[in-house]
Amino acid sequence: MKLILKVVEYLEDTQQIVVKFCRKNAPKSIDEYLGGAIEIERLETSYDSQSLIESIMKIGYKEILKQEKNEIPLTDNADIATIEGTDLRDYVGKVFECDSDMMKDRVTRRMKKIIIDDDI
Amino acid sequence: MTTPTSGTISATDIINEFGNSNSNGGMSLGAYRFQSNQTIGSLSFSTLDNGVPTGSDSISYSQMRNKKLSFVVDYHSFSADRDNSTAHIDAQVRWQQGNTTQVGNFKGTPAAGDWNGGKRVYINYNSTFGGVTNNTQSVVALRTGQFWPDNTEMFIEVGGSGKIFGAGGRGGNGCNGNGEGGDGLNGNSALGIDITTTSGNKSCAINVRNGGYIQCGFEGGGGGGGSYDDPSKSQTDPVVSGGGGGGGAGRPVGAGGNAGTGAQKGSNGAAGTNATNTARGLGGGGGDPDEGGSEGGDGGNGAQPGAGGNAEAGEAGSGGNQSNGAGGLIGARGAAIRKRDASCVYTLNIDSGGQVIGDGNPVNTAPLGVN
Repeated sequence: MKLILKVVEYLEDTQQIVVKFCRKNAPKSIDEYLGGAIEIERLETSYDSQSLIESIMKIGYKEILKQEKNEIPLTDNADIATIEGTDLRDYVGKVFECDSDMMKDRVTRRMKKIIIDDDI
Repeated sequence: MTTPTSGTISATDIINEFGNSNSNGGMSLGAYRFQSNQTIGSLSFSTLDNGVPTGSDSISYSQMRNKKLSFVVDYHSFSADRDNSTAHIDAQVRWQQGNTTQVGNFKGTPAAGDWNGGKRVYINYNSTFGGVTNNTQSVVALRTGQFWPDNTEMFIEVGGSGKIFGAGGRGGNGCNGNGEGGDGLNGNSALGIDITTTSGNKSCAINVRNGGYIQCGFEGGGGGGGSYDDPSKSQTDPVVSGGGGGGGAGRPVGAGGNAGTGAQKGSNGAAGTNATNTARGLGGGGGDPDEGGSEGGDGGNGAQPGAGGNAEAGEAGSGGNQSNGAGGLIGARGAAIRKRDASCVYTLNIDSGGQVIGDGNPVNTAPLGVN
C-alpha cells in the first residue's frame, strides 16, 4: 500500500505544519481529508527529504488506517456470504472476506474433527 | 435621542452632545459637516450622525435635532490574548479608561454622566484576539461588559482583519502502564455578551464583515489506554501504554496530551500533537510490545472546524490477556458567542465572507454564562 501526504500549511511563527494523509489509491482526493497539525521539532529535518517525509508519515500513518476502517464498502462488496461446506459449486457468485493481517505469514489451520467413542 | 427632538435647540445642546466644533470658543455649526469620511479602525463614518449635512451643503439647527454621539471602542490598534493579559478583555472597562475615538473628534470619551439620553457605541474588533487556556467553557476571550448606561445602542463590528478565538482544549494524557487514558479537556469561548438588553432601552447588534472571524475553542481528544499481556509460553510479559490525545483548535492552541509512561518490554505511546488556531492536533500512536499482539491505544485527535472535525476518544488498549485500559473521553466544546443570561439578547449579521463557527450562531444556540 502506498501512502501519501500533503503539507497544506507551514506556520513559521509556531514551527508547525498542517498535513493531510491518505492512501495513494484512496477513493477521494487527499484535499477532501481532514488534516492535522504537527510540531516541526518532532520531525527528522536534519538529514534528507525521504527521512523527513517518513517522519511525518509515522505520525500520520494511523490516520490512514482510520480512514480505511471508516470507509463504507460498496453495497455489492458488503454482501458477504457464509458457507459451511467446501463444495466450490456453492461458492460461485458469492462474496467472501478475510482479514489482510492473516495473509502476511500465516493462514488459519483447522484441525480435523476427532470423535471419541465412549464404547471402546 | 440626545439632542432635543422638538422645542428649542441651542448651541449648548449640540455642544453637550458632540463637543464644540470650534476649538477657538464660539460654536461653528458648519464645522459639524464632514468634508470627507472619518475612518476609525475598520469603520468609516460619512456624517456626524444620520441626516447631518456634509461638504458644503447648508446646515441649520433643526438638522441637528434628534442626533446622538457615536464613538468607537478601540480593539483595532492592538492584538492580545487573555492568556497574556486580562486588561483588555472588557469593552466597558476600555471605554471607561478612555480607549475610544469619537465620531467627529469634537470631544473626549463621554462619561456615564454625559450619556444625556443615549449613545451609539461601536466595539471594533479588527485584530486577532485569543482566550486563555482554561477548562471552563464559559471563559471568554473578549466581553462587552455588563454595566453600560441605559440607552446604549451597541454595535459589535468584527472587521475584515478581526479574528476572535476561544482557547483550544488540551488532549488527554497517554496512560501510565496498562491504565486508562486521560480525558481530553474542554475548549472555551470567544465572545461574551454580558450587556443587559431587555431593560434600560439597550441593544446589541453583532456585525461580522467580510473576512471577520469568530471561532469557539475546540475540545481535546482523549488519551489512549494501555495493555498488559502475559503469554503463557513466553518470559516476555509486555506492558504498553497509550498515546496522548491531540489538542483542540483555538487560540491559545490546545496542547497535545503527554506521551504514555511506564511501559515494560514494550514501548510507550507517543505524545499528541499541538493544534493550531484552526487545525486540530493529532493523537499519538499507542505503544507496541516487544513480543505478542497487544497494543497500546492510540490517542484521539482533537477537534477542529468543519465536517468530520469532531474530537475522538482515546482508543482502549487491546490484545492483553491480563488487562486493557480504557481510552480517555473527549473534552467539551466552547462557544463562539455566549450570553451572561437570558437578558443579554443580541442580533447577529454575518456578511458574505465572514464566519462565526460554534454555538451562538444562530443566536438561539448561545449558551448562558460568561466568565
